[in-house]
Amino acid sequence: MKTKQVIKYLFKKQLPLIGVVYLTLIALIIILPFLLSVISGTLSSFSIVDQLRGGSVSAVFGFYIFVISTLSYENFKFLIQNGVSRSTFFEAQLSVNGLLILIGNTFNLLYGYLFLSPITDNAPFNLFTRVYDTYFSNPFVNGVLNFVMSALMLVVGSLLGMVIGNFLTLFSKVAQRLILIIAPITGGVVLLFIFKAMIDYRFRMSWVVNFAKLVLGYQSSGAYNPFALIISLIIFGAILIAITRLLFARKQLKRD
Amino acid sequence: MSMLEVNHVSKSYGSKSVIADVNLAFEENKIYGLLGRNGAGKSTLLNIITDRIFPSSGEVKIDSENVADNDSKLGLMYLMSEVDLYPNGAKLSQIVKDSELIYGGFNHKLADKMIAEFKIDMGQKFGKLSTGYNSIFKLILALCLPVKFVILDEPVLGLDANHRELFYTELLDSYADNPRTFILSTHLIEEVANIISDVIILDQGRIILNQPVEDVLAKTHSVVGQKNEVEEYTKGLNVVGHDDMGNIRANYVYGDLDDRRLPDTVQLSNFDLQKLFVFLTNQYEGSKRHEN
Repeated sequence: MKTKQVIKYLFKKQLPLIGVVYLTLIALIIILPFLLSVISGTLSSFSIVDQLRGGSVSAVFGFYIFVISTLSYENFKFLIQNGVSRSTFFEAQLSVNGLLILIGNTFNLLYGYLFLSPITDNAPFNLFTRVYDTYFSNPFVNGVLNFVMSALMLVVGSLLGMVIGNFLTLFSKVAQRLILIIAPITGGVVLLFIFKAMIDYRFRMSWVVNFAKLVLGYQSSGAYNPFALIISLIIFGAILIAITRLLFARKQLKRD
Repeated sequence: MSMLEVNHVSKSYGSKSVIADVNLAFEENKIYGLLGRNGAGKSTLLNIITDRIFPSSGEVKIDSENVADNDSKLGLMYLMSEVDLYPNGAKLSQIVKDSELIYGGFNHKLADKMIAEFKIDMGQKFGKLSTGYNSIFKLILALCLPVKFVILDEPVLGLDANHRELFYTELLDSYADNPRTFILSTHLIEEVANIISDVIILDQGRIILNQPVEDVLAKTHSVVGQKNEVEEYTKGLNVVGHDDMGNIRANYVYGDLDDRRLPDTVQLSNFDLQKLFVFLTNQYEGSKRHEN
């Protein structure tokens, strides 16, 4: 097995992108608004704290990990050229995404707890601090649970990216473009239908709401139960890993 | 002794059969020539051998172990092909480093020699290479990576005559220093005829010839003379083609001659691999299929 070598190759290739992502984030949430306020003459009302409060580092990192997870065909081409099997590529890609999530999530939470919270009067900075933070009163337990939940959300985001990306690589470029056009339109129509049905037939669709409450750990009073979402994310993640494994096994060089 | 076996491999795209029940065995330390006309299925077969695409049926084995999804066996092969699988934005030196990392070795001494001989700038990006230098770079990798089976699909694509000559010299030197199995798939039959030890001809997805070159050439007979005498002499033999020059006829026979008496006015000699290839792959009107 060449898993170690492939992990090294993929990690070396994908790690610098994290720096690019965070630099872009700084440019978008601080530098660009600052320049706009200078140009528009509203510099006196510009506040770095407000800008930082409004920019979600976790969401941006989630977007990054989702996007790089969809891009697997380029790596597949290089690895199959170098005699690497599909299962080794699969294992290495999972490991590398796991490492990147570990780095990104650690940075996000350190930034949240040590920098953002103190300067924003403990304003919530991610889903956990917004909804689950008062389930336990012990800040250390909350910190650990926040780390686990945030990491699992990134893992699911990454796996979703891998499923979508690897599914698309099974098709020719023309078919991929058609899918990328048709799928969002179909998805939008289906979502509209579901929302409409939920409004029109509130009673019949109540199972959807009940299911969502179960997954999120909703409680009628007090904080949500974080374990419900953590367990849901683990189950969903396991299903996605199985699908991704199947899709990796079907990868082959395309004719176009 | 490593052996690469292709067992009952077939490949179809929809209803179109590209490879039909191919069986081959590539022995260690031989240089094979895989010949076939455009669309004969050569590249498809090589892609199946290296697990880049899946066969519709059949399997490829190295030392009796299936190569499919098998790192230890896939790592024994390197397929250099026209298709570019390296990142366009990567520098050549970086691709060498990454390939070395994954294959676990690289012959830097030979690479440096070839880089100097071919005058290739390793600081260039892969996507910026001309067709010729693209081939040269991939050939350097093919000869310098530590594999047992070097598979070259149209290796001299875009190379000028000087560079082709240089490549064949390097290939033979590399083979002499480090004997391993080479599979050369090419259209330039005359150029490789003196290099290859065995010839495999693929026609419409089927193997129509698979023998040592020496044996093949020994079975080629060009029978030249008066038309009626040539026809009489070659009656019942496997005539794969013919040429007419006025009243003079040349019949090309592939196979063993029996002990029939050769008329004094008829001349007998061998003909070359390219001519045989053309006849066997139905290029010539009068040819007929030869089953090996």
